[in-house]
Amino acid sequence: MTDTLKNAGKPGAVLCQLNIAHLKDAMDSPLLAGFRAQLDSVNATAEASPGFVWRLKDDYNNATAIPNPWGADFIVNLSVWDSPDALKTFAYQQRNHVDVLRQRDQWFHKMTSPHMVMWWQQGNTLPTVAEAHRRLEHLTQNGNNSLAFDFRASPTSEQALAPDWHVKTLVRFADDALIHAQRIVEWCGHGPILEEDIALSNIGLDYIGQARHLYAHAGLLEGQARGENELAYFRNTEDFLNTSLVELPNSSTYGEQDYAVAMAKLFLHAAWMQIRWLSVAQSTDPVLRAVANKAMKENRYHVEHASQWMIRFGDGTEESHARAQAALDQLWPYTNEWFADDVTDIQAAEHGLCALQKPLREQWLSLVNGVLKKANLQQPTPSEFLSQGRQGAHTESLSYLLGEMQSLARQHPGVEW
Amino acid sequence: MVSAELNPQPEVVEAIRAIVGEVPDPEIPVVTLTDLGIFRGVSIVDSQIVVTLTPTYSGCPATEAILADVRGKLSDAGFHEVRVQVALDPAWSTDWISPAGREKLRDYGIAPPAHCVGSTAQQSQSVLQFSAPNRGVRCPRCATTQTEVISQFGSTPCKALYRCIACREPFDYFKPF
Repeated sequence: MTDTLKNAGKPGAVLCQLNIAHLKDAMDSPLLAGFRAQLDSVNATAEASPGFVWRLKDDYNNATAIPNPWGADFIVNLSVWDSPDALKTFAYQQRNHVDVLRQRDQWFHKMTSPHMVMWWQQGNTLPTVAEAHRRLEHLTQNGNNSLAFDFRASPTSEQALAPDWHVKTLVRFADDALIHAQRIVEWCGHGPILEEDIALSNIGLDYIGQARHLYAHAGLLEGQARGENELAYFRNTEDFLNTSLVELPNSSTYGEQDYAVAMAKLFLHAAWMQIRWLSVAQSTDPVLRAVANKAMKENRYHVEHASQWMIRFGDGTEESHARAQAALDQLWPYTNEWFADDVTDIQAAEHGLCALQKPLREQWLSLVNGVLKKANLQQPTPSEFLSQGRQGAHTESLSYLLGEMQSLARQHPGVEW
Repeated sequence: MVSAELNPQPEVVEAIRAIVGEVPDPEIPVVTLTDLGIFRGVSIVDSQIVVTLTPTYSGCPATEAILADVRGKLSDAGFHEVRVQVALDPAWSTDWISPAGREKLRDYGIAPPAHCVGSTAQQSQSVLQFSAPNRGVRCPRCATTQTEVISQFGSTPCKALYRCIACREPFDYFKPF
């Protein structure tokens, strides 16, 4: 849900700017009278300046009453410009703005952490206070960089905003992790033994951590004012790009909840992820590379856990063996999608972002079959079935899953926890 | 203090190192950030002091609490302009837990981790060959290695649940990572 910038008048990138101020007294206090008196004229000058695009304001023509995450004694100023130079010209050459800057110590506390940040954003999207908060935090933690900067740096929009195939690849990784986590923790409180409740909650937590890092990174590279919460909670079914397998219910073909299905799903998927994380461990994207090198350590324990259950089921009773085999047969066709490269995968591979999927299948099969052999289970017969989750075409079960997962955030937009 | 930060002196860096290093881990408060190896150091970038932390696991819920604790402790000591960053790379390893940290864990009842063998990529490869889980974990109470794994996932992501066959006590094992 993004409003089009009415004044942008051109596609491509715009420069967003935030500054915050820590008030020495209430906005309507006598101390702030001088500041209040100059607001309208400074804002009018900004709007008339070359390269001005938009500014955040309410019915009182300014943003001083707009709630913000820094607190009630902070005020924000959020604006959009054609370029850093256009903003700089206004900020340091327009007399009435410079006058305000000179007097600021009367009204505002001196701030010791960064209080101004700029970033490039897609021209068809309005910035939000939440996005501005993320960018300022990114600058505060990381110093000047292409995704959040001050006047000491001047990255171009090309350096800041990533192409579609890049963002899409990151979101696919993150969506798989998030949706799988949501399915897995359905067992929390319902596992066969307490230790399994704990194990699956821990595995889910690993996935959520991986997803959060990748969503946050994808959001900054995409430049559409979306952070991890917007990507997780405010996209619809068709916008999710997870593989179909992870969204499937934990139930057998007879419709009952079956732990063998949950474990077979975890087993097949974790085995694939082990090979996949390894294949992006040298990615040209430093964040994907860092997440991969961490995630492959976490994922080892997932593979081990699920493998042990497959062996326990397969090499167990007649009933457990039959259920494990049925679970594998039921899920196997959904693994075809993992090794079918599309245009996005090919572009990502060409740029060294990640490896092609198809060649990973042999390694995956060898890992899977090693365990199946120990478990006395058979590799299911191959099929031509090709699910389309990575293209955004999902089974109906994803809508129900999202309905549950997103309801709190959608009922209370902007809530933090 | 603020003026010193503009032109950081070695003693200022040392003072910061001492403050950050002694911050306790919020989940296992007997060990500090230095003991756990998640405090990666103090550097100076563009004449600004930068403290680098790294999370243990991707989803570790303590990461945000640690960041807030470190910022709070530095601010209390008058170091307002220190930048505190969280770096994922290189990925944290239990091999970075200090000898002192390992002793503190053991005294607290958590068996310290075995050392990791090989690089992360090599460890990942070993999964592909489906190697057996860790054996010979020493009970933190009676020191026998007659122990068995109950579950590789314990009360926090970094711990496994073990049982001592000799003294019959269950215990946490900080699993190699």
